[in-house]
Amino acid sequence: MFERDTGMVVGMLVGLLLAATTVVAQPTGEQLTGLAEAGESLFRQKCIACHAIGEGDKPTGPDLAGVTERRDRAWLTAFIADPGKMLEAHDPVATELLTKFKNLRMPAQSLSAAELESLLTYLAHPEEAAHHPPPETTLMAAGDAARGARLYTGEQPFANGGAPCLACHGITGFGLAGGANYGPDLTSLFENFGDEGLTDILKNLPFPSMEPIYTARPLADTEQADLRAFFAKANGTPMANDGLLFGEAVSGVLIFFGVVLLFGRERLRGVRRSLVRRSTEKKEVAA
Amino acid sequence: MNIRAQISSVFHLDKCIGCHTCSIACKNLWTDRQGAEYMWWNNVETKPGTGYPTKWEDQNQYQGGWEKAGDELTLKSGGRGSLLGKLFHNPKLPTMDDYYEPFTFKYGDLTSAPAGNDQPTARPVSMVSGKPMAIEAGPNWDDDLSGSKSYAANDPGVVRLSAGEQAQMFAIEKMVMFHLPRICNHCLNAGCVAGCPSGAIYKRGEDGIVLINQDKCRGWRMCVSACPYKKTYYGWNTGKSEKCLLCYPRQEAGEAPACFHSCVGRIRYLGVLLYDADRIKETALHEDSELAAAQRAIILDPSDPQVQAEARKSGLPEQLLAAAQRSPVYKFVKEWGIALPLHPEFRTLPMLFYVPPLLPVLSQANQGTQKLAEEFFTTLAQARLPLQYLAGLFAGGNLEEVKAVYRRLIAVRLQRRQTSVGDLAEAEVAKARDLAGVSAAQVEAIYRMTALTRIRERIVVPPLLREQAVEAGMDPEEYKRGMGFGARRPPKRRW
Repeated sequence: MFERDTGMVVGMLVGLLLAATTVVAQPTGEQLTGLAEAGESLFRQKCIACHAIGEGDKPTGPDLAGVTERRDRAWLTAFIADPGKMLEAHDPVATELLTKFKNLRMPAQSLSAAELESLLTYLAHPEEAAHHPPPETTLMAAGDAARGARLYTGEQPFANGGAPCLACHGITGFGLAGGANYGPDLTSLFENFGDEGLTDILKNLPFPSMEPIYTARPLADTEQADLRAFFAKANGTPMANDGLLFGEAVSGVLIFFGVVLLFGRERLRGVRRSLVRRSTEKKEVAA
Repeated sequence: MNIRAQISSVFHLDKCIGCHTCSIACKNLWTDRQGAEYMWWNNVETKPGTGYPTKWEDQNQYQGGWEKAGDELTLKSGGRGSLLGKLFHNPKLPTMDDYYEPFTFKYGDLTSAPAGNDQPTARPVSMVSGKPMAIEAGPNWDDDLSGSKSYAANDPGVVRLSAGEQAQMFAIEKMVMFHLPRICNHCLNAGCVAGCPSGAIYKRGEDGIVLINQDKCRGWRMCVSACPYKKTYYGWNTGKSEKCLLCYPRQEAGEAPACFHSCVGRIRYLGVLLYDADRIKETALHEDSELAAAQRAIILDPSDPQVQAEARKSGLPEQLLAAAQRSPVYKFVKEWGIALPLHPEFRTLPMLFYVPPLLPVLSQANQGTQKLAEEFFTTLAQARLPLQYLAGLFAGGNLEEVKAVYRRLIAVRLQRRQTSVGDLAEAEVAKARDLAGVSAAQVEAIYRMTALTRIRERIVVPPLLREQAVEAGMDPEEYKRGMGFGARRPPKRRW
């Protein structure tokens, strides 16, 4: 507890220092444009899946227009570096955001000081990079839920060789013991993030633990559509019961011991004792 | 023909007084060790009784021995596949309680107890756990019919009898019993050898003694369940099974096995038999009632020149052939036909034969005054110990086998009475001999072997010629200097 507090204090101090330096040397002109451009490309890589600027909140994250004015720089720096830590420290804003966005935690982003600088510059002055052409929005074809299910389970491999979702994520109806639990259960994914949010997530898979898997092996457009359809279909089914795994383990153990017991019934138990018991019991009956 | 030699024995049950000296001699020599306390390679049982381990004869429970499956013999405890399946949980083992939990007494307390108002006592303690225990059983718990309501009444041989026969056995003042000393039978078709998954049990080529190689034994205990006589034992300390070795080290030095040597009643006879190893399987495949006769048939006459020639071809040494001709066992089993194998229906072809006890059958059946041959045979039928019981023990249920033996034993009694007391008519004696199918000279020979012989006549240990076996492998001088107490080497372990 104590260590965590000191860590946070140190982080804030570093943030304050950074803020102080920027105040001292406010970039202007071409330097500002350069920073904003770099920031925009970073935004498109890491943030756009969940956040928008000036288009309103997405299901996955708040609109970031004017965020640099709403929050101070130290808070932003600390939050981007590790949102989890902020939540553990019961930061009121972070807690409120978590509730608002259905417990979807923003993954920690490991950005260098220069990257952070450019990103914050872009967020403060998005208009500086406005002349940059916006990314093409590809028209999503309607997906096939059945094929999506096959992709999810790995029955049909992803074209680029990514690991099937079921390897880490459980979903109702698949897997014996409530599925895998390395990642969160995806049953209510569609409900939580909607079609739009889902589209963004599937396109970029912007989670640190997923990046090493899917950056080099992105999901193809049709695959994304299929999965989206599959998630949409899975939506509304009851969540897998967490107690299921326990129940299945217990019944498995019971079955095992039952089989051992069945075989064990055949074994020779004490001959002499039962013989003596039987013959003395008989005597008692006669008497 | 493939002639082999088998050291075998005869126990004359009419002479056994049930003193357990044989058991003690064996215990002191071989099993007085930690982990072997419960083993009695030699034990003496009271019949009727359930024996040691309890009800060992009941193969429905213990699944020992062989059974006939068409033209093949299979172990009752299972074929190879089945044994492999049961490798880690052999289900048909006697529990410690079926043998008995070995115990001793805290004798030290008798002398070290502090002064007090009570006599110091030596409490019984378990030799397994070292804790005080209540003694519930022992290796001869049913000795002399003790606890007969529980034990003798549940003798598998008794249970098979009719209600009338059982009532006859347990009638008050007519209770009857005899002693049955048991060691390993060193069978021709040993179940333990066949059951061993490690190939650790073998039958010595030169003398047929069945041994467990302690280096190869892995302690699976399949021999314990496969042996119908329950004469292999698992050593809890060594983790290996062990059994009666017919005191082969003593025999190699020309001495009688310890239990034979110490026998007070001189009931034990030992000698070598020649048999045809090619006929083992066909012999063991006979019907239950024919097994005793079939087993006699496989034993060959050592005086027959043709047998001798075949034996030489099979590589048997001259000294062994000479010993085979002096074998008292051959006389008991083949010449006189008065010794029968124990439970031949287990089909292991046991090579320990018993002269069934005449006395419990006859004594008091007619107030002990049977005189005439006719009277003998009529009283046999109404004897106290039903002949059917003895037939179940020694002849696979074949009453005729037991009757034939008794006729001969009765003929011996009558002729001896005629000789020593002289109150019988010679015609009666001759009639008894004719009924039994023995000559006067044979009767004299049986009498002599039963009553008068000295140890070298009763126990003919064949020269085992270890020196020849050593010479075949290495220089005897080198062997003598190099071996000392025998080769000491750590056991090979595969794990």
